[in-house]
Amino acid sequence: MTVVADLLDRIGPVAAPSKGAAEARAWLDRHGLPDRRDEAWRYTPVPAVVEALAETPPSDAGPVPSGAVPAAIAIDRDLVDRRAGRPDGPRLVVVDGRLAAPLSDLDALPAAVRVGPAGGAPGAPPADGFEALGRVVGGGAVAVDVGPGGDRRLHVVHVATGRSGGAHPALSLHVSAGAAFELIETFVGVGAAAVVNAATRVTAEDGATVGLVRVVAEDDESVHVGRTAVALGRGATLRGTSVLVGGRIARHALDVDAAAPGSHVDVAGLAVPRHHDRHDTVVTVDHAGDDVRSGQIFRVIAADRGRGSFSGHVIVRPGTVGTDADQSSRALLLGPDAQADSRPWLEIFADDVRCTHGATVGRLDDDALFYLRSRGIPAAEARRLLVAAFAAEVVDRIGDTGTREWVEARVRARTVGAG
Amino acid sequence: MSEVIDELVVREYEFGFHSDIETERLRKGLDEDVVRAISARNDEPEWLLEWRLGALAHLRTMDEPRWSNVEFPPIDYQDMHYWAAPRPKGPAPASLDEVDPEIRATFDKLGIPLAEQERLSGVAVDAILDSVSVATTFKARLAEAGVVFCSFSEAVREHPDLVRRYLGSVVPPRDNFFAALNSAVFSDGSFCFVPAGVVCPMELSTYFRINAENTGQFERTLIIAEEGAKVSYLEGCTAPMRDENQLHAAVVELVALDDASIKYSTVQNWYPGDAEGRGGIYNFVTKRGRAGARAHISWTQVETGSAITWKYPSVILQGDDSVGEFYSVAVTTNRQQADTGTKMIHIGRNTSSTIISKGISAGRAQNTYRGLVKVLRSAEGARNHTQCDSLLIGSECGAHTFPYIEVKNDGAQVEHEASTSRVDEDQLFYCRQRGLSEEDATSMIVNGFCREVFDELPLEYAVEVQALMRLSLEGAVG
Amino acid sequence: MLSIHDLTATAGETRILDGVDLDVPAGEVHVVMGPNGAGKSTLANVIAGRDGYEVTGTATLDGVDLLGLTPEERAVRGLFLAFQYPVEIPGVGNAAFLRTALNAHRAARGEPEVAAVDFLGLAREHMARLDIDPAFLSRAVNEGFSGGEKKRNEILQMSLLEPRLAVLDETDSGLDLDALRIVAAGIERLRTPERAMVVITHYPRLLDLVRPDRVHVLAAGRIVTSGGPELVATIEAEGFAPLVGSAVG
Repeated sequence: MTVVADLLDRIGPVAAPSKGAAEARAWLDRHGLPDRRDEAWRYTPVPAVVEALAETPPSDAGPVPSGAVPAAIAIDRDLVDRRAGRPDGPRLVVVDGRLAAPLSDLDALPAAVRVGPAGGAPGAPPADGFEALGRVVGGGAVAVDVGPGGDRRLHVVHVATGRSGGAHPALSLHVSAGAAFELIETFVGVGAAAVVNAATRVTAEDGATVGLVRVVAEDDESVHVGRTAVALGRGATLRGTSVLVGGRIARHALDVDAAAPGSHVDVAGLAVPRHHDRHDTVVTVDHAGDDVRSGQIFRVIAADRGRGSFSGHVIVRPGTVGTDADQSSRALLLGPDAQADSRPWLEIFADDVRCTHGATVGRLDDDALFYLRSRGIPAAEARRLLVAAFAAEVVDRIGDTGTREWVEARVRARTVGAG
Repeated sequence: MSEVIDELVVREYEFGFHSDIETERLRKGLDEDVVRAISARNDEPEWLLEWRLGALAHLRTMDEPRWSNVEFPPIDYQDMHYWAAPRPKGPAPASLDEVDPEIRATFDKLGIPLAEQERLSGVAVDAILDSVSVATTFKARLAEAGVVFCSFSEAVREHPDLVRRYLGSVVPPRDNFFAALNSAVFSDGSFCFVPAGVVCPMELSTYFRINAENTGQFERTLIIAEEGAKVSYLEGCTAPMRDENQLHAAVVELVALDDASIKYSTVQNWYPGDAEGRGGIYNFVTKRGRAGARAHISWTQVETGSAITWKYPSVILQGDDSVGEFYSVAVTTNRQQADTGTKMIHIGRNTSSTIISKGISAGRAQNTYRGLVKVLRSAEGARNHTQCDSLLIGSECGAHTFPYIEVKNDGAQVEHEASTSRVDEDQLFYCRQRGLSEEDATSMIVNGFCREVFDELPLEYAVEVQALMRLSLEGAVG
Repeated sequence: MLSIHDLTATAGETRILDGVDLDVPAGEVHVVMGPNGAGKSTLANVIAGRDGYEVTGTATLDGVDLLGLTPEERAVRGLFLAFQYPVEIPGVGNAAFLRTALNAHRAARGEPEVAAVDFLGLAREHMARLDIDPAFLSRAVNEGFSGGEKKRNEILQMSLLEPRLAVLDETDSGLDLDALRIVAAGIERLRTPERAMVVITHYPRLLDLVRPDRVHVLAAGRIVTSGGPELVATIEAEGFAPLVGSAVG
């Protein structure tokens, strides 16, 4: 446990510890940080994350009370717009893990949507040691409560400044029965290399339809470790899209708890590591309820010496019936030093199931390239087209035009000249 | 449906009996003295004793591996006899006809048609009873071809240079806990050497069984095929019903030099424990082959026994254009646990690997495929195709697929597909509407499910395997 | 031969068959037609003993109650169902499958089993008569078979197993003329005075090729009208509505 104590020491004091910080500290002392032997963390370089957290430069201004924007770095709406692809519609801006009220549209939220600090300690235990750490040093969760109603959308732009101790944003989302809502979380950085440790917890009541879009787009030297946990009610629907297009280490762990019957899980993810990046996506769908259908689509496009990893775990609990689970993972390697890992796992304890998965790893198809070139398209353009098509299966799911186009541009920029 | 399923999974272990042969064995415990005693019994040269002691030293620094989905009570490694032998009742036999009649009777009860095999198909048999080689036949015919096939201990005496050169070259003692254990205390096993350019004139095979109480079976097998050589080897074993778990930690090393080909087939039907999972064999085996340029190594296994199976027959595709194959059917019923699969390590250029794994889980068993396909940076043009399918029979068992695919070369083409379901209702109804009972229909469909793997087994095993599948899934015998 | 009285079949909450009466004497070919959703395939499945339905009423084959028997018990007593979409069984050779089925029937009749080697000769005889390519035998059951090949395989099985009652579920085959022709040819070739056949279909077109002895219309779960072959022309001209309307009212 000295690693934990040492790390906390170096991160420094916290302004106003959030509710649940003491409990989180106890959890952290008992379980510690993730171990390389922990299968879920096999492809995320944990020591490098710890080092990054410990090494963030101290801030002159000291710890910042909740709600205020750090004065040292000027962040205004224009900056947010430029960095985060001009999000359309109401937004919340979270700076270094704390809600920045002046930059957020708290007076222009969609109908029946309330935003405020999360009251009380978090209900569920942390998913891993970093989430626990975030609860100890972070500023408390922002709670978004969505009342009944049809299609609504809220952007949450997370801005990290690379200041001391890193950013530990925590967001909780509650979607009422039958409501429809989309949350778009984008993660960007300003200033020095950011260290971000993000946790999002979602509860979808019976019949709710929840869209979750996550774009991790910090700069090349940043480290981002994030997780989303979703609990689905009876007949609820989750449509998730996660894109890793930034950071030298970027991780998204999505945990879906489908314990109620009849829910539908449709998730997709894309990672585009380049330079020496390590991008890791870990998805777990737990079929504990009857008649749960799930589909997972994962794509990795690795350029330079980038390494993209995908682990997709489908669990089907004993006594459940009517499970239908599909998973497809494909990795595209754009250069001789690119790497990909794939672990499509099935853990099945019931027999009334139909579970399939497929995984492929390879380079751009020579036949397809030749076909395009034989129609007069230059080689570089042909490669670009094929790479864009490969990414499109995931990126096209992003409904908000501004965000989608921004992501497409980032994918293009990261893969130009490769392959 | 459920009453029928219950009948399907309950089965009597056909070969469950214990023969009363006097057995000489070392005191319990594992330490340097025990290792020295084993080495002395086999009359081994100094270098081999040192090798064993080195392995023991490694073992002391290692922890027993624990997989999260295989459960068993802790093993007390000091509470076992590490060596046992049947006491021969006369001079050493020169042929099968002169073997101790009690031992021969044991073989007959096991249904091992040694005599028949000998007469009809000319298969050489190296029969091991509790860690000591009892009979070896056809040495002369093989010797004509230049093929050496003998017990490991004999190989140490007659071909020490070969053993010394290759022992541990594919599975070094520090590779894993059970490999270290085996390297320290292995008693005997099979040795095969096929010289350059020679195609071994017959299928080689081995039968052995564990007999004495609490005697771990630590077989060491080494097969070497020199440049352009070819050999096919079958391994099949049965074991008696016991109340204490019996540990089997074998090591099999295959060395296929350039242009060589080794086919290694296993049919495993060891005592799986009773309906409550008590008393079965623990089968913790390390099997690996190293392939040179254009060499070919193929593993085929049908695993229906053991309380716990933990094995990953693997191929290191070191040479350019080498090929590795893994074909597996694993059946678990009652309370068996299997965690088996393969590792294909692509190192050379233009290597290729094929993995076909069929798991059938019934009763309250847990059946896991765990496989690694690793393509190193150097492996230009690597190809892999993997197909893992699982069938669940009944709603209380588990079937799990844990592949790891790690690719570090962009010229690789790796494809993996898996599916898990129960026996298709439409297929069952179709067969029943044609007059087949539910058991027969299930058996036929399961055999069809496993067909691609069965087709890889040498012909001699085809009938035995069909019988084994039926036995595993169709209720009490007789 | 086949005698069905007041047969009902319910799946979950839905009653699909609602009091079907049907008698088919030996030597006759009866056709059961009806609009979509009438319960035609359900009738075939229930006669054959498929799981998933709660069934009341009676159905007997030569006086022997069928409803209390398992699917295989009904099969070896001479009931054959030619499936609409015959399922594929990978890895199971057609020859082995056919031989096993034939031997199950023979065992039930107390007859000796046919050995593998003798079976091949027997199968080839039947295949020659039906104009089926002998290569069929070496393929896996229905795997990779075209629609027409699957139909041929069903007819081949019918020929080998020599059922007393054959039920042919052809509810949707109307679009595949090749398949229809094969089925029709098979029916005609396998017609005997000892055998009864029930052809369940949606399309009158099949009946240009097969001479039915009697035609029944199944609508809303029961037989609403029966007649001779001329009923087909009426249906072709006017559709099912007039017949159904008058019965459902």
